[in-house]
Amino acid sequence: MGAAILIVEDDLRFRRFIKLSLKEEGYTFFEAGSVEEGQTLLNEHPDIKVIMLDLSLPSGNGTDLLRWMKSHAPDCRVIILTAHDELLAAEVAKEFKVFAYQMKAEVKAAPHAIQSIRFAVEQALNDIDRALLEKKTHAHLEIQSHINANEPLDTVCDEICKAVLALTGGYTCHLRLVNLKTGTLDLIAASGATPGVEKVLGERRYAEDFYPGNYSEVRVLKPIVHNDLQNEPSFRAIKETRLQESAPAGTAQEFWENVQSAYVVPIWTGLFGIEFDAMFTVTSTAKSFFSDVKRRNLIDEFGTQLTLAITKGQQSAKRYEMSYKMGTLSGMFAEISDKFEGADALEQIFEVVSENIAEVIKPEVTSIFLFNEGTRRLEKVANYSGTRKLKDAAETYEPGESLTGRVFRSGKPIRTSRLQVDGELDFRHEEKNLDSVLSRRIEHYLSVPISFGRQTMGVIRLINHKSAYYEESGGRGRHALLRTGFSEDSQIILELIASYLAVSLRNAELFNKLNWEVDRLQTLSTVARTIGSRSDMDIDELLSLVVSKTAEVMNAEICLLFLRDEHEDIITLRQAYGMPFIEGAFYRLGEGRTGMTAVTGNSILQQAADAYLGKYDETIINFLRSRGDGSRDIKSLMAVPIFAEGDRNVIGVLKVINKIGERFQFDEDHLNLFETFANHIGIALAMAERSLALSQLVGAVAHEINNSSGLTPAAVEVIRSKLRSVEDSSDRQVISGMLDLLQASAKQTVVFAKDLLGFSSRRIMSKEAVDVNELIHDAITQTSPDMRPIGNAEHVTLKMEYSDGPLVCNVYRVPFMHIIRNIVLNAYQAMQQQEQGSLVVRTSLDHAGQTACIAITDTGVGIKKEDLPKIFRPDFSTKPGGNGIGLWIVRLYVNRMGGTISVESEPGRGTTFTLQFPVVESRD
Amino acid sequence: MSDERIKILIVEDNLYAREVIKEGLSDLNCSFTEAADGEQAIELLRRSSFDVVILDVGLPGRSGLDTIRQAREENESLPPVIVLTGYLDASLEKEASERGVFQYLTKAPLQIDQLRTAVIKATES
Repeated sequence: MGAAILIVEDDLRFRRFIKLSLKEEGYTFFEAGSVEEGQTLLNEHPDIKVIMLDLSLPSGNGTDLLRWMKSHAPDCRVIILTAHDELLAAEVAKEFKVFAYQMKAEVKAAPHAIQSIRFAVEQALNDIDRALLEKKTHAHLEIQSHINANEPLDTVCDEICKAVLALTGGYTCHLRLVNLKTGTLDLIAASGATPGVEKVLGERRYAEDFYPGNYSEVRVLKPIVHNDLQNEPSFRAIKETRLQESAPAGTAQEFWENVQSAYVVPIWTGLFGIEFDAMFTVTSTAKSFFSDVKRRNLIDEFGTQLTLAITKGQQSAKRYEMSYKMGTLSGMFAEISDKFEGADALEQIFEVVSENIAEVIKPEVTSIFLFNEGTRRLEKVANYSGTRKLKDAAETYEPGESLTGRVFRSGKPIRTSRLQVDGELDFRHEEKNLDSVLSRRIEHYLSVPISFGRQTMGVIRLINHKSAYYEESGGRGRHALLRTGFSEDSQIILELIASYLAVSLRNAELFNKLNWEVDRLQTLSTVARTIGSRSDMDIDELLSLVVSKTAEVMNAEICLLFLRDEHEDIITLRQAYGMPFIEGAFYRLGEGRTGMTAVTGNSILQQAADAYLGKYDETIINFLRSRGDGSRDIKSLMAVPIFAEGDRNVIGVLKVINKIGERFQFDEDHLNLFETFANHIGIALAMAERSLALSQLVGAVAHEINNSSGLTPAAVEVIRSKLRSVEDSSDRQVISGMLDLLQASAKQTVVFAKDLLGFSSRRIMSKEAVDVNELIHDAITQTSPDMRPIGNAEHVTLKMEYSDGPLVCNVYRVPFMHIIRNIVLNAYQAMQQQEQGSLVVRTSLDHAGQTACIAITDTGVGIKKEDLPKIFRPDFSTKPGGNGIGLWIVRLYVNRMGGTISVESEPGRGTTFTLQFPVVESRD
Repeated sequence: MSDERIKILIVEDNLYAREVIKEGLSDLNCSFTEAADGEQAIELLRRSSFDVVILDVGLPGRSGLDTIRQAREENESLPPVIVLTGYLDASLEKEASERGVFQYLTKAPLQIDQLRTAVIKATES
């Protein structure tokens, strides 16, 4: 459509002549025969920019129209057509800023005059364009200076609206901005021909009922042209509603009746992940006013400037939001790091994560899923609506099932919304679990995997994105859910949270494992100590303790102990815990995996996946199935070698079956612990066995000595009685002397044998809580007959100083007495060469009331300083013919009773042996 | 003709011990029968009657105390038993007295005086 030209001329023929002459230029001509007609046309067609006006009209002077135009169409370019004289026309032109004038007579007379009219119109149109460009440029610069000066957004937008109206000649112009808190479109600038246009438009509208056009059209982010609003049904519906709302009609009525066309430009900054940030609307009272592409381009240019202004205005809000989010997140990370301890550590971590997601991303529902190795399913472990924990039904997915299962399997996030869902991305399956939330359907969906390295542990799923500024108390249900759903920003933040959660889960898992190991290691050392110190048990009791403790430490249902048979190449079942003993069960070395462990010393870890069945597995499985609870099958087992202390000789195999708990599975970490445990068991067993063997050996030796040496005195006596009948008295003396010697040495041997016997295994029953004062008294009293060989026994003053109360200690009765006896005899012997000696036995309780002290002090020869460290060694003795075994055994047994022995000595002055034993609460 | 001598059964695996005992008690008017283990002793107790049994606890195979138990099961009126032992143990002594042992003597060392006194006491009872 060409430029619109109005001809106001009463001479019909002249009008026709002009139109005909300018036909080729393609202008649109409007014709008026009078001033009134001209005014009407100008009112109806605001796009008329050039007027050809005859000054002398029958209905009135053309000057009147010029005067009217000054206020009603000030931008029109006027070409005066006149029959009057040149001067007058020039005066008029000057007064009213007329663009050009032509003498009508000339126009008719000469063809070149038509040419000059044509030229004048072109000039006028160019002048309009130039002026428009100038005004537009000026307006842009003006607006840009407002934007640069950081003026409030509504001021800037006001300027833009005014400029657009001024430059396009539109009817109204207004801008609505999306309110991030409410999801509504709020009017921030409006200007137009009608005063009070703000009231007419309404300050706050929801996208759905916003005039003009509807939401779904704007959503595609393209400007919309409405050419004939009054004939659009949707417009008429809105118009009707509005007119009813805003009685008395007045201005509103005028607006709704006059508006004919509109141009709606969505403004999008991309800052908040919403479809559009603002909607810019220009209306006109003329139909198809915006079908002119130049006009639309002009509005678009201002649209661009609006985008800039809004971006600038929103950026500070965005910056605040991002720094707030990041601040919140780093707070969350710190908080999670504090929560690794305790039984409900995971629960607490999920709570913190969900709370922070609610704060930062604002989903309607946050769910955390973790993969359960046992069920092989993704299980919902936390479910929150905002910060409120939801108590709804369990929700699980197989890997790959539904959207959430797909995120888990692929390890890739999915971000979508209802509007985008196609057949393949169907999340309706997951809507079944939304009973406890307001919306009950999924508008938006965002899931990211929780991954650590290549391992995916679970998924965080968010449903329904609320406005970034949504406040819990406000908002009208679904309107507060933004239509676009989760932004890319949200996804990035959620991925960040998920990766942190993964690290946390891993850490928590490690922490728990570590705790578990520390716990187990403590138990382990206790068990090893127990086994090492229980010398009063026979070996089978000891082994039974080993298997029960192993089962306890490893959390095993069943524990089996095989020991290597010394004579044959087999390992035999010695103890079974958790199931009946299998009589005669054994593996040849290298037979099956258990037999292999005994040969190679390599451990076995077998999990559910392995289908291997050992020799006795069927028996075990039958047992498992026959009982009521626990596992029904061998789900996992571990077998580790027991090494002899200090070498790689396998002395047995310890085997555990099924870890107690839901999955009955052992893993590598359990195996490591089990190996450590078996090592300790090996050492403890070796120690126990050695001390048992030693005491048995000692007993046997002592018994043998006793039996044979015990006869000597009797035999000597018999010989002596026979000797009386021997004639030769000198022979008799020699023989008698030899017999004395023989008898003395035999008695010494017997005393030594008695000592040994006192400590041998036959003597050791069990520890008793007894008053050691009584034991010491008995021991010393019983010692006196043995004093006979010691020449000076009667020259030694014996003093016993007992503590006031009883000293109750846990000791082996007989060995304890032998210990005292041994030290006392040593003391007597040390004083053998003295004329006067003193022996003091003193008992006391320490200040803390925890320890009994027994001090045995003599005034004998003492022990040389260099000998002091050696006296407890089995090969050390200063006595002629002594074998040194006494104090060595003494210390062995003192230690075994939980006591200590120490010695202080000064050569020539004497020696003090101090024994200390822990006291027990009471005797009964 | 009834034999007035004291009939003693010595149950002792050690030949030298048997000799020492026999020699030690030779001034008493007695006759000795010897058994080297529990089985022999039980067999002899079945066939003959004795006035005193001197019994070593530590016998090969069946122990001394077990031998008494078995013999007593077969014959309620067992002669007095003097137990000799290399062990020094209160519990063993207790067990011996429970089995009706007449006296409990140590072999470490063997004291002939004590044994002689015990034999005389046993025959008088």
